[in-house]
Amino acid sequence: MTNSNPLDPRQLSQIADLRTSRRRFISRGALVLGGLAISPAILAACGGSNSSNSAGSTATTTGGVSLESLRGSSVSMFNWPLYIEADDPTTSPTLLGFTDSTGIKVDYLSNIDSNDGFYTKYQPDLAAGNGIGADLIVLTSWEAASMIEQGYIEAWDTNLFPNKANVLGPAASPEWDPGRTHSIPWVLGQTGIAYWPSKVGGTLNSVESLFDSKFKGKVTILDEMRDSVGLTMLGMGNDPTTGPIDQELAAVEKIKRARDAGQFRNITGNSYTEDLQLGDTWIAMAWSGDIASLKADNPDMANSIEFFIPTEGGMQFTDTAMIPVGAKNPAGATALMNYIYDPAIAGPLYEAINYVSPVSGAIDYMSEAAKKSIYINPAEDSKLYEFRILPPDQNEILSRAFTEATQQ
Amino acid sequence: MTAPTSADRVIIGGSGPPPWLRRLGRWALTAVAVGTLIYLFIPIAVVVLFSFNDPLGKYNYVWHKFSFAAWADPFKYPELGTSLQYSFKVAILVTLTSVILGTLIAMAMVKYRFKAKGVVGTLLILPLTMPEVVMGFSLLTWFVALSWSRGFITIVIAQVMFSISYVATTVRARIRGFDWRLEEAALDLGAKPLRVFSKITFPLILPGIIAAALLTFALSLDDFVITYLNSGIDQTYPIQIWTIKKSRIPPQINVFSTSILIASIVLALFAVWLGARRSKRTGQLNP
Amino acid sequence: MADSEETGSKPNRWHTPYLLLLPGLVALVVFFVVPLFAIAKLSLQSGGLSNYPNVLNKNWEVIVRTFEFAGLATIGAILIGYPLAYFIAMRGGRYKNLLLALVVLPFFVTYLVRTLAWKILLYDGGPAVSILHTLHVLPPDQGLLGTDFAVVFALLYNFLPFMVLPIYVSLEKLDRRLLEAAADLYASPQRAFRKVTLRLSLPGVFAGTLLTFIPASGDFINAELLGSDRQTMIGVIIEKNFGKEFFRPELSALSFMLMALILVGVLIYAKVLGTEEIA
Repeated sequence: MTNSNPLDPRQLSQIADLRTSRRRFISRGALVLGGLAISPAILAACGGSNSSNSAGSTATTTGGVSLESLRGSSVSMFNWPLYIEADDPTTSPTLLGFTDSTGIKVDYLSNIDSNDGFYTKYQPDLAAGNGIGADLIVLTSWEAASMIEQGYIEAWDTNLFPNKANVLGPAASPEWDPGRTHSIPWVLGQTGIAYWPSKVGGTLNSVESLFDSKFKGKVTILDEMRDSVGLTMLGMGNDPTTGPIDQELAAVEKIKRARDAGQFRNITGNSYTEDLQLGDTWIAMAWSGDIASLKADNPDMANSIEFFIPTEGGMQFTDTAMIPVGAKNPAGATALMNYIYDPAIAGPLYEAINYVSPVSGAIDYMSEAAKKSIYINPAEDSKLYEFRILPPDQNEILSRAFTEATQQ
Repeated sequence: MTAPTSADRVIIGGSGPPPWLRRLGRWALTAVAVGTLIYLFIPIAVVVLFSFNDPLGKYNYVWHKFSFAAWADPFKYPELGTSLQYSFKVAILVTLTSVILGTLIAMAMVKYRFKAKGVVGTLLILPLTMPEVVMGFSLLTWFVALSWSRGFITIVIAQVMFSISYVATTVRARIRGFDWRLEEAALDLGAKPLRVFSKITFPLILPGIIAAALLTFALSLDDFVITYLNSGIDQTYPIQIWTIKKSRIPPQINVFSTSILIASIVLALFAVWLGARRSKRTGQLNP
Repeated sequence: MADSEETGSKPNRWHTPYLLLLPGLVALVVFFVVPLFAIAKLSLQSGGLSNYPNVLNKNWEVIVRTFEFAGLATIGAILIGYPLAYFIAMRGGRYKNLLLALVVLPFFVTYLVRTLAWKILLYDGGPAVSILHTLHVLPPDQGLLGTDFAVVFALLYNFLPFMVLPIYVSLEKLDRRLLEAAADLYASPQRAFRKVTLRLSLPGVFAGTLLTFIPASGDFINAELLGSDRQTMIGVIIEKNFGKEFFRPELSALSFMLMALILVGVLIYAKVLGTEEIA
């Protein structure tokens, strides 16, 4: 259904843009989805502050928890770095505003830095049903899908989550969590390419630059399989949202040959930003948020580095919020996500952290500059694809091939 | 004054290299030793230098301009201070525990002949051979099976597991070749075992214990993977730095490191001064 | 000389060694050996015993490279660590403990911070590379990071104290009168060094080698931070892939293979050195 198509930014911007003009509508589907997205926002606008709205809609059936009863409790959250304003929970307007309006304290830790690392550390506890000390965690969609399937995730308290309907249409109901009963996106990120125009001597716009032997030894790609394989597939004219596995393996083969020829300076995870900053790497496969943060923070970097989504397309990743089993305050966690999914709150938040907001209508609460930012509002012609969810046996085959191609 | 070394003595019999060559050899030794020390401190110099940097962004990689700002506000990021304290607490307990357990093992291994010696010796090496993530993970699953929640104690246990090997190996290197008849002689002369230990045995093994303690402390402060897998909410210093390094690498980190260095050097100098005073008073040679 | 340290224990104290060993051993058994059984079980999943030879085959190149790197780092550590230990023990005088502290001090600065400093020094646009280019030691488009040299260099640096301190403690207890006696017996300084000093410090060299080579073989972080994918070591493969459950059986098998290979190496080394053992 919706998640098998590339995420068409035109659809995205239509759904997100309240000021729809008849000219830009292209399908009834978009109209319906747009309508669904608009209504809670309109309700919110009519009803005053959103939090009092949700406070008004107190739960009475399942769980029977009301927002008022959560006053004074606390929610603990594990998240990735750079996913909250200034990465400082003590000054984050979003978190402080949430505490102000609901009375719920937030213990926020930016202590997740890899899906695999998180899984290794916490899976034994989750499998035993123990709590892990968090009410809310954020992991990339493929890891989220796996954890939901294994029963490590609790469902939202739907009565406390009316704003869930604000989720962007294309992300509203993935196969692995229909109706978003157990998960909801925190950010939509883009994997593209960052480079030094001064060092490569011009402007780049294609995935194939990563494989261009002119830049031998100055290129880094990511050790995150779905990003590297996905982008390579796009360069080969294939579609990472569908596979099949043969094309994916062919992409791995291409990476292997390039690596054996010495094309890549390194194949790495988060640390690619160091070499990029120092200028040792000229062209890097990069995550949008890292580059946005780098440029926003440092005028030198802002002038030296550029980021682009290749013409062949870029990869989208969805870092997804969920409640792990054993959470002490799942209702509070739900309330926090509900607060974030108010476009009036989401707008400033996603503008500050430089990510595409999964909340429809959020863009209208952002500044003009943010609307022009490719990190927050991808360009019209940017094609973004999310890697398909692999069945376990194919996941294993592809992972092994990728490990062999990049490490051994 | 230390006892004269072999190189100082005049060789009876006249064999050996001429004095100038011997002097050259001594000078070369000094040069290599000092050079190695300098090598050890090169990155440290960079760390200290960059504590005075005012970086252009949030990442302290590139020199921008000289500034005392970080020194003026060292506790700007409170999580750095709390995690450092936590790491020190862990390190102290780990060092104490490992030194005691490891020294006991070392003494047993060296002084006695017993059947299980080969097994114990092999067992001591095994923790060193295990890759950190496997060792950490195996302990993690064990703690979950025991329903022990992860926190301070589990970190200490995890670190002690590899530290014992370091201590035992280092102390053994010290006490191998000792003439234990010294102990027997003292006992024969009527000294109680405890006095024998404190007056004879302990001073002899002390340098080994100090060396082992220094190594263990440093190892504990630095440990990452095993600690990560077996810790609770509280983070140790290396883990804290690892998790924030994507958000920022502030010069305050360098300020902390430099302060630790200075404090340690001052402590060591103090110990030297104490030692010099004591030997002046008692007229003893330096132990 | 290094062999005859046992004084026979008196008959009425046969239990003493076991008492001394007990606390440490119990801790090790409960918190190290027992959990390892779970890993052993894991290593036999989805493939059984064939996991072991399979994983050895697939990773042979990386295994060889790992031992190469660890070996070079260890040899380097002996070459520059022994003179330093000797200097401190023989010439340190009252400053011995201070010098010893200086050797360990760099390690009170967290590994990440130290390594970042090396990165700043060694990156392509940094001082070290510029100098080496000017001196024509390095070809113009060759850097230092991401090379075999960088990883061995970092391993050497980070394990140096573990070589220096054990050698120091075994040298420091050297009775100078032995050297005087050697001189009295017409031995030249070199001969005295070889026959007395070196031989008596062998336990220290042995200990230092154990504490350097073995952890270096399982190390991943030096290769990951200063090396490239061409310098992959066993530790990197294990650490990077352990998060994926289907990899764990073979990674567990790989860990045990690594352990076995190292043990064999250590036994051979002990025999060659003439110290009587690990025990």
